[in-house]
Amino acid sequence: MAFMTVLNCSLPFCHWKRKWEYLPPLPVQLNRVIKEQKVVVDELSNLKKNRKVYKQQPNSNIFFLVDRTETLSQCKNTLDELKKAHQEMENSEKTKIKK
Amino acid sequence: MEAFGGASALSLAPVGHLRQEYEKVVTSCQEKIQHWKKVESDYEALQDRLHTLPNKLSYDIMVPFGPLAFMPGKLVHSNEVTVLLGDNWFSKCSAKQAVELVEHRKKYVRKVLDDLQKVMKNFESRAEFTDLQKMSDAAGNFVDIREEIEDDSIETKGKNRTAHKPHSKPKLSNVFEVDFPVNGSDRKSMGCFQSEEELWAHLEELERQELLGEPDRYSAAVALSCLELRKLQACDSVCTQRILPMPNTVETNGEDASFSEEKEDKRTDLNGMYRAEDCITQGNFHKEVTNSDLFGGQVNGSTYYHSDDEDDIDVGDNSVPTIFFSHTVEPKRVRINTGKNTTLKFSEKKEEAKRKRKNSSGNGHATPELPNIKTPADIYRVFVDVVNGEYVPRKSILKSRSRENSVCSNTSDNSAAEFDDRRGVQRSISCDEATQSDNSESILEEEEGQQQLPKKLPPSSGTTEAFSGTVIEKEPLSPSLIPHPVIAHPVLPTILERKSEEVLSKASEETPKRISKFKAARMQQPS
Repeated sequence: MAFMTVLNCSLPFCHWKRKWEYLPPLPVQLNRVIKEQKVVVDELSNLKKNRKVYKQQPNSNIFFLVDRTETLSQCKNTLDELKKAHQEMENSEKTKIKK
Repeated sequence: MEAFGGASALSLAPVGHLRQEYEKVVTSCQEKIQHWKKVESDYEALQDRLHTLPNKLSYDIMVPFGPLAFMPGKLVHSNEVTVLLGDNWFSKCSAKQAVELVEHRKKYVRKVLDDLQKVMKNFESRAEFTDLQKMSDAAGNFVDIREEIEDDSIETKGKNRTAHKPHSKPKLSNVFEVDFPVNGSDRKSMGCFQSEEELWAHLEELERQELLGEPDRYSAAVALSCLELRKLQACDSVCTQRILPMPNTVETNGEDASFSEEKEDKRTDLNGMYRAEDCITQGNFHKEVTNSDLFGGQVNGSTYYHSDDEDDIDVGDNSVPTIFFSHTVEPKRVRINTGKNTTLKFSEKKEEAKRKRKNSSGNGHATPELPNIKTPADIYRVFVDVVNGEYVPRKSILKSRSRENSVCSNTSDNSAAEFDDRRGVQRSISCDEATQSDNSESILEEEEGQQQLPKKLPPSSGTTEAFSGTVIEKEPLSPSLIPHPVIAHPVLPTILERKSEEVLSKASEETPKRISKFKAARMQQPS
């Protein structure tokens, strides 16, 4: 029996079914995304070995089977990137405020 | 920055509103851009998936059962992709081809994104311009230059026009224009008279020219203008009426005298007297003469008098020359040969009743009151004679074969009908002098001999003078009358004629019983 973990491709966009939805400004979105990524990484790392991980194809309901370790590393990378971006934004805002 | 004349401090409210609108546009653009960016990312992910899809024969997947349920399964035929082209059209292709399709769509998405970016940038700059606070810090005081226009008259040359509603006809102006061809200048009938006297004089001249210069054509325009002007005069000014002295007084005419406008009624005054009455404010003999000449000749029972005849009228008299007509009394019986050895007879009782009715009402109008027809039976009653207590339907006079030999020798039915109508119309309200003149032309050409008749007739009567203006229809004993192939008004008992003849029977009762020469001729034919 293999329980699956579903990975959503979480991106800073509104749900594809809802169009033209008002989105919060970028720093707020970025924070949310970072939180989501953190959760994903934690979940993946806490999975048992016999679990299957499926990744959702964007904009569809199909889930492809993926390797857990690979996806874990990928998610960690994305988290790092998001953190970096967030950091940069904060830095730029700080510089703007200072100016 | 100096302040110009009329410059005032810039009002901030409309500018702020403008800025808000700009910002709205910017935010909407941003939202759209985000949406399209997501679409683009989806396409990219799909492209990546399609790149690697043919690498394996089958994939383990979670097959969706509806929106919420899933089932573990396999994805087979990894190289066969069905692509939606739109409008429920699908295309089966390989993964590589699908990748190319996706690339094509991405190209479109990028184009849309670029346009949105441009728009957003444009409106951002506009919004920035409206940010007066920011600009005033940089540039200084802003002043709104306004120019107040006080004089409104200079604005437009033409009238303010309002668009017509669709599918609607434009209104026609109520202005009536009367064209006087002689002058060559158009005159408006409403309130543009230089002077009334000049206008009337002008009219007279035109009429005289018509009579003398162009006897063949009767200018309808002049007549019309006459009529219209008179109508207008009745509205605009007080008309003084001239009751003309008449040797033969007729009671029923008295009422007509009071109406100055009713030229048509004068013409229909068939009690035996015709007066050319004018409702002009100035006493103008010439005008009256011309009018009487024009219209008096039309009322002749049998002929339309040429202008030559009108010349016989004493124009130079101080008294108003008038033409008087007297028509024959309604004969008791008029036989009409309708061919096929049948004759129609007048319904004597009917005619008498009508005569009495006309006399009692005292109505000078010769217009016969149409019978009150409500049912088809009424129609039959009107057009049917009572013979020996039985109803005998009338045959159409136009179907008479013997008409070829009769007085009304015009074989064409149309013209005969026209004559009938015209004759009836003349005695009723008629404004169409043009048609009369046109028809009268044909009569004139053939009735040269007839013109002599009125002159011949008076001597035979004991009471009238050589030609006092009274035309009396004699009995058909004079041989000169019969052989004339005359296209005259056939005195056939049409409804209008009969009724009109009763109207004029008032005066003629005094005179001896006379039958129209045409009737007489017809009566003699079967004999």
